[in-house]
Amino acid sequence: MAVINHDTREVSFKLVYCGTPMGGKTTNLSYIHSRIGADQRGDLVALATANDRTLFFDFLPVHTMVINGYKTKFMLYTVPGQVCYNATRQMVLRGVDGVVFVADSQLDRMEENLTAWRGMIRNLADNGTPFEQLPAILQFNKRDLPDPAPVAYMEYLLNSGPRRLPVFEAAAATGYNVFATLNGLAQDVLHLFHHGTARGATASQSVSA
Amino acid sequence: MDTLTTHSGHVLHLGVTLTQRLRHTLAGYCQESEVRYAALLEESGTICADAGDAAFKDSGETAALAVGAFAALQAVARRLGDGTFEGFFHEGKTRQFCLTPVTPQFILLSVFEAPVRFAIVKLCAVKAIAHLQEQIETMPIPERSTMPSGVPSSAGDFSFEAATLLRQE
Repeated sequence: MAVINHDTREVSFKLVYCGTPMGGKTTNLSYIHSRIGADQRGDLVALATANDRTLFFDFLPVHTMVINGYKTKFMLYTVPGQVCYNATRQMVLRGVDGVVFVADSQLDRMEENLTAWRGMIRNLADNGTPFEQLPAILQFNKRDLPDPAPVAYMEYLLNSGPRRLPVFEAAAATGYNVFATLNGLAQDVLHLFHHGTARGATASQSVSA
Repeated sequence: MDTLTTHSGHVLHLGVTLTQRLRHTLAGYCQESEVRYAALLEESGTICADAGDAAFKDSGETAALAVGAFAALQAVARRLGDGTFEGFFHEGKTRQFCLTPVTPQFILLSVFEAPVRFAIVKLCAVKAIAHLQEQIETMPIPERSTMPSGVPSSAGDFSFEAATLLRQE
């Protein structure tokens, strides 16, 4: 839920990176953290296991520009990808203003992509947040690996419903399209914030490698 | 603007007067209970109002973790068969804190030194929470909330690159 504090003149948005286990959600946040000046972000908080798997969530606050006197703050979260952490995912998705679904482009991960996708929509619904009205972006990650799944195939699996989402092909490990993804979601969230309606809900657009 | 409401269910407005009242209540609570720092947190991890020692303020990490921890323990309690959840208390050697529900959407974080007794804090928190609830629930809710007057129509074209957030590649 976007929070507007008229006293401190600050607007906060909660953005959550969901997706396949080991799909690159934390890598997205780590890259953003490494590329933004320390004066415009907080610490990257990672609650992970000894094997660097996300246990609870990762968190990164990003302070951005001032819109006519109101400071804008994006609170970036990831959810744990592993199937067993569904309750945790649902918890982190509370009060969300926008989601990035990070899909793994490796061919053998398509079933997991689909499972995670359905789980995210179910968790949002259980939280009372209809996915249809929520700003959302699809990121097809790991396009830099050999023989990635064709974009058209991934679109067929994840983006062929009545609502067509913007798609970004990315390689989070190298930073390719990481900021483009975040920027795309930020624009949608701010558009909803200002106009009261989600945009880009009917037409799909793809940003390719 | 002095409202606490939602816009299509997804924007929470904290008006100037309301925020000041909340802060005043929290300051009174700090004084009465010897709590060093108190903050009203919203379930998405935002600090709505706070009072006390500014050294405890951060850019949101503590709030995010506190809200997450609270939600996790609440879920554990529910799974173990307890539908109610009265919050939790960390008893540290030098510093202690507790998280207490205010409403289903808001949580009170209280940080205090080891000599301060939790029982006193808990007692004072009951009174402070009653005030906070009253302040939250009695605010007028207009039919339609309004955006900050300054947000330009081009806000949707905002770009992280344009905001020069990126370091030189």
